[in-house]
Amino acid sequence: MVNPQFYRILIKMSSKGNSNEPVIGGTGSKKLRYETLVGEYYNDIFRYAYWLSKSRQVAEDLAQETFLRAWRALDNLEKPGAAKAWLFTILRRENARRFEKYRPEADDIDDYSLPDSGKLEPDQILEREMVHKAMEDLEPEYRDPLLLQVIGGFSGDEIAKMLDLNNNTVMTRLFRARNKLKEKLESNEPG
Amino acid sequence: MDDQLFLERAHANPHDDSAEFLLAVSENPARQELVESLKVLDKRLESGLTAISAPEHLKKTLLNIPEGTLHPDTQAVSANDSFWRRNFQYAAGLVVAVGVIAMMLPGRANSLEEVVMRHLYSELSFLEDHTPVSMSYVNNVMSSNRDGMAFLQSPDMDNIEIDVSEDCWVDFQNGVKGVHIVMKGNVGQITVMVIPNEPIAGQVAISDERFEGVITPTSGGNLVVIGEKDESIQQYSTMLAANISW
Repeated sequence: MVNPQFYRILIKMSSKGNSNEPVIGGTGSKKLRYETLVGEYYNDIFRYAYWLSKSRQVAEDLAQETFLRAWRALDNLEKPGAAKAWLFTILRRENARRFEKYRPEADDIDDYSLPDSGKLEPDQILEREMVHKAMEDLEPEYRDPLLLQVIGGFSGDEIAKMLDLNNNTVMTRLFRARNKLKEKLESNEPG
Repeated sequence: MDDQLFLERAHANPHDDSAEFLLAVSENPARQELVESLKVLDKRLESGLTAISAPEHLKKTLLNIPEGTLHPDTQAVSANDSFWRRNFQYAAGLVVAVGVIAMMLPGRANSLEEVVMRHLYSELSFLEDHTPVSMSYVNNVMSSNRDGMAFLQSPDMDNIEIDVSEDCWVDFQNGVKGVHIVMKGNVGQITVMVIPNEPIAGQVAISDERFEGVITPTSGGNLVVIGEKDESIQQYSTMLAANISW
């Protein structure tokens, strides 16, 4: 799941003494690693933030806070392969911190203004709206692991760690989530 | 693998590529059909969920974070770990303590001092949060509490570092909300509460065994500043009061 470019950057960083590879050190290397993180993950972070907050504005704020914290703590990220889970965890904490204090106004479920909808056929727009409505109707305990699996691409073990659940619970919730979604979407199928 | 276990595993992850699962799929055409239908469902999900795209300006904004252009106030603070910056954080902690002390004062039940001290101690975990937030973030919280309420841009405010800014029920029962801020002080974290309620008659000092602080009435409400015992509370209070727009 990690951008190969990210690994290349790290290889360059560790190539001191190799005259064929530029050595990226000091703050420059940190900035480059950060830029790679942003380029690779900002869309996923925004999407997940959107589903956590149901608001594009709040999602944008959450993404900014997530990457601000990531930038400040980037030196603590020792394993590049863990970068995505690390970012998602920062985002979840940031969202929880906001949620403890106030609930941001959520977008109306009937007002999903999907990007590029203008380029879609009516049945494609309807399909997307059906999927969004079905996801919205899922209970959070089922929706959350499914979002991490579909948007984040995380394994059951990774989701279990992020949600502080055991793996069996995660798999059971994923089973129920897809079961419910399937029923919901099939019940809305025309004819 | 029995049918029930297969059903659960297929729904939990239809893309499972373990040998055990793939063998189970190959044993039965009905299982193959189920897995295929679940993969189609996942395609629909993925298509629907990824239809949410980040706004075009977001990537540029995020890339500017290292340059400090996202949070210019925070950048200025980071570049200058000043007295004010550290003291502002500690001030937030102090405000909470003041509330608790005031609560304990005899004959002043439900006084603002009591309320803020109670709130301070109920949110002591704020003092452990050392992740800076920008002044623009703080002012967003301020304006969400009351339109027009904000800290002004000034050299003094540029030099403070804020770690917490939350819109809180300072007194839920009486419907009093305020903005609870924690900033770095010289001695420790400083708690600041900006409460747009009826200004009290005059400045009140509050303290307990750990904290000390002041509640200062201003034109638009009350400003609470609480810190550790040796903190320059009055100095912070004066500076903050001069830099709030109500």
